[in-house]
Amino acid sequence: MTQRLGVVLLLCCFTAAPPAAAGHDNYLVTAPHPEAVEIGSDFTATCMIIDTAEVTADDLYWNVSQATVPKEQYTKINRTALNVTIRVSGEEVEWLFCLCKKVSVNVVLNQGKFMHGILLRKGYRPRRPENLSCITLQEGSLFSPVITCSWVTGPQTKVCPTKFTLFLKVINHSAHNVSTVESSASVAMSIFPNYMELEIWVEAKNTLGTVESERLKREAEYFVKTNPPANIQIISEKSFPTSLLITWSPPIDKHYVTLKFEIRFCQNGSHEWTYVPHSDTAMDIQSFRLQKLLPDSVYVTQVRCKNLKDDQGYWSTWSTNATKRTPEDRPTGKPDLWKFVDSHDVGKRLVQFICKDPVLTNGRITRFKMKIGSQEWIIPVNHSEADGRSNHRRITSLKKVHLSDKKSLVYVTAVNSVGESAPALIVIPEKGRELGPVQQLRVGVQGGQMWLQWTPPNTGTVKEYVVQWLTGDVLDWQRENRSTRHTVIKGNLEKFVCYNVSVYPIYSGGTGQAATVQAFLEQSVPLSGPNVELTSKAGHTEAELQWKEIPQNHRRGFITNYTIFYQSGDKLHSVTVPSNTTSFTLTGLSGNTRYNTWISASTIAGSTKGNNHSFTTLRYATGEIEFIMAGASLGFLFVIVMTMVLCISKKDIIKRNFWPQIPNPGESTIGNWSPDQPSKAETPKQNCLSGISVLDMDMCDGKMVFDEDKTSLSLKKDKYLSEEHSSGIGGSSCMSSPRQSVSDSDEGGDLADTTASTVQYSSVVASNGYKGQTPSSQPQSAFFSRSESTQPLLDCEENPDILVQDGSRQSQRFLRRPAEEALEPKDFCPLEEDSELTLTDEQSGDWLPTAAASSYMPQLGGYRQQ
Amino acid sequence: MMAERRTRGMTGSVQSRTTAARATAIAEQLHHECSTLLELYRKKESFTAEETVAGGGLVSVPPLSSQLDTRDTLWRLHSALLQCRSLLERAIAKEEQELGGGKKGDYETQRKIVKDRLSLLLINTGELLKAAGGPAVLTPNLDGLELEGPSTLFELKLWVCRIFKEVEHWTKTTITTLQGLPDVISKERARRVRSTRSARM
Repeated sequence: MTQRLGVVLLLCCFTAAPPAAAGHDNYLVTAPHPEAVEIGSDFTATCMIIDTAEVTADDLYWNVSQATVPKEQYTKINRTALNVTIRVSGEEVEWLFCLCKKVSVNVVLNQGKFMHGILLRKGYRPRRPENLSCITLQEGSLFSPVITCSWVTGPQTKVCPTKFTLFLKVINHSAHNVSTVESSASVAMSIFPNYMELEIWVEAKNTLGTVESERLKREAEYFVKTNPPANIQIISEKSFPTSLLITWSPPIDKHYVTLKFEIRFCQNGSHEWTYVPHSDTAMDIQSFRLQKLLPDSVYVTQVRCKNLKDDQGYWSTWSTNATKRTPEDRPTGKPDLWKFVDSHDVGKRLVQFICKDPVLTNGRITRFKMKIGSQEWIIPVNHSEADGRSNHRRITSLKKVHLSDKKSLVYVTAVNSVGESAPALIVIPEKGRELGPVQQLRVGVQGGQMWLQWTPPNTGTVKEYVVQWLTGDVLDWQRENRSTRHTVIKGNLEKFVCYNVSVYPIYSGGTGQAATVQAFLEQSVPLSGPNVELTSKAGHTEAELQWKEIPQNHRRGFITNYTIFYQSGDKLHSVTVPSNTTSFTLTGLSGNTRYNTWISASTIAGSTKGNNHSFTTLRYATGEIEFIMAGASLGFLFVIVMTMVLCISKKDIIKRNFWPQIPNPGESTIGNWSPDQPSKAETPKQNCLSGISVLDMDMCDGKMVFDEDKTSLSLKKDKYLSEEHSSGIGGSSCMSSPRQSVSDSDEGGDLADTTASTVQYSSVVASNGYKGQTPSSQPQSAFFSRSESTQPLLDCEENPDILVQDGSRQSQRFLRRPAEEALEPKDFCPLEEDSELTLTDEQSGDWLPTAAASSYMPQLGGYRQQ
Repeated sequence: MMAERRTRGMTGSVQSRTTAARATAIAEQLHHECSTLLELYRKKESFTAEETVAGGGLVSVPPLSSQLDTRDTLWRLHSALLQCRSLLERAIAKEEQELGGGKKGDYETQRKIVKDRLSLLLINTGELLKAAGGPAVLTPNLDGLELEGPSTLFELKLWVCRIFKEVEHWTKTTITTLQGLPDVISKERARRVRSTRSARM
């Protein structure tokens, strides 16, 4: 019914006022054309055909943003009108077109006339402003006449903005309003209407509608917010060490608003505020006394204020900090007394006593009093003030005392400027009578804290436990009650540091024995790796490495193992050894190879590599060289031995080769030698020998030969050589012409060659004396005495030519023994000077004596040069 | 209907008490501001307290009598405050006319505050008067008021000072009067309700 009515109204609209499109000869007209359409609502439009019967409503269709609206959404009113209903969605502006199908050429050619559109400006219906709140701030000594309100709005679009109007009405007095498109606005009045009743509301309006917020009807003080209280002062009174008096000034005169206050305070450095109960401060006051504070502690205090009436006004901001220290008081509680035994002094009970300040020092501790029996010490302390204020309880080293073996009671009190604390007691049991430790002590880490767990000892009734942790020289402890089985270390433990954690049971009779474990709060990789080096020189296939343990402060965790890496070329090998190992022998290395080696120390957190060390393995293994040397030596020895054996076995040959036998004329047997029996060595020229030469040496000459050294001998030779003589040895030489026939030492080789061929020595003896110079004329009367000596021939004797030439003289010579020379007349001396020596230096020593010892028979008839 | 009426009656009583309390608070506030204004004025004009001690007589109201009922008392009070506002407005206008506008200082600000606060007080006293059965709209009786002010500057300044003191006086009177008023109002309203009922019956 309503829809029909709407359609009728639309039609009336069309007929009463022809649309503007008609003026442009459009055959289609749409309606309505709203300023805005509400997003999320259904919008119905009508398209009407006018001034033509060429098309009907059946030929019409609707498009939204070039998308054709489905026919299901169409409603045909009559032959010339077509409705469409669409759901408005999205915030963008769109066109809704009514179009005509191309049913004829005219429609195609006049397409612009067969269409019409509606601009869809989309928007949201204004939502009711919510959470309306207003505030007036203090301005100088009054409240500002400007009140600012804010509220929460609904969505809106640019094409359909919402305008907000803030209304403020001073009841029975005045009304104000201000408009904005924002969600807050300020209203200015002539004066802030204290105590007057205000009515405030917001109206939201756009083309789609208008809506109002709830109306706030409150007294003006409901909206006020003052400045914070001013001139906060704190008074510390010496007679009240646990109290501070706070005073302040209200920020505004009480004629404008009556205030209540709130106070909060905390210790300096802490951010946990303690609030004074509202019931104590919710009144018009300007001072307050804080009580139950800690003596000698700095407190920070703040105050704020608000309208005294409940639920009216806003709390001011907190005032600036007001800081004051409470007065000192006598220490509360006892010092925490502890000890450790200096184990370095064996046989004595040298005990170091240490203590922590009482939990509440209530001032600066100036000294401690320590008492053992009748002995009393005063230990002054000079801690800085900052130390005492920190949360960490200061540890003071009291006294190192030699205790007797008996049970000792030690009392310690802490003293500050006001007074003395209650005494703390520690009982040192009789020596060797300490009761047993806790059992099954375990340490773990959880949530960044180190926890301990133990079972109590069964040796007595424990009063309490002391948990002690020690690293390096830093020692700390905490006390646990007797029922504790599991606790967390409350001290500031550092990561990556090894702690010796001990639990001491405290008995009524004194301190018990400790149970100790090592633990890390957190482990990391070691700071440095071990420094590896060779124990000694590397071998052929092995090398022994050694390293030192990483210093404790570099370990940063429990060393789980060491990994030894060694690399040659591209080959990397590794060996893992236990953490208690500090040396290792690498085996299976290649000889004469350079290796790089290093060691990684591992914790559960990882590994750290140590330094690189390089070494080169030996070319030969140990003993290999010795074996080779021994072999070579044995071989050499074998050669030597074989040579010696050969020498011994072939002695004669060698001797014959090197030391030929020189015939001893004295031992030779001269046989009769018949000329008829031709000697095989005899040459025809030998026959020319007609006489023999006699070598006659006087005693002085002989002696000179035997005693003088080689040099003098050489000089002697020169002397001999200066004259023309020839040797008579061999007896077959011819002395035809003067020549030098004595060899120098250089000619030794020649001599040896010469002696290599042995010949028989022979002497020709004339049985009947000398018969003249014509031996050829009397050949038949001579006979030969032949020597069987194999003495080698002298040089000249090997040269037949020379022999031939000298034959005439040589034949006159013969050798004789020196002993017989004495028997010779002195006139033979010149002849002897003519005797020719063919000795080398080496031969002279052997040969000459032999010659001297020869058994030549002297020529009894003597010899005279012819 | 009875319950509704009773509720209305109680609400009206509470409302009146609240209005009286509010008027008292505003009067105290105004008195404080008047004192401040006078201090500023004396400081500004270098007047001593003795020079400004003379005052009063600018506001003309019937003499206070114990025979006056609440409505008349409120009427007298309200009338006096209305005259004070007229005098204050005239004094401000005269000062600005004679001394020129110029820069607004603390004195000028305080003067405006006092004037505005007095308006607020008048609203509340008017409400009280209305609640007490007085006329809905009270036209101030300006007869005999020295609205023109003196012609010489010194006399003008003394006249302004007298006005300020008059305001201070009547705010103080208002405080005193209103502090004993709520019970009176309650009783008055109760009496009036009873008389109305009996008349209807």
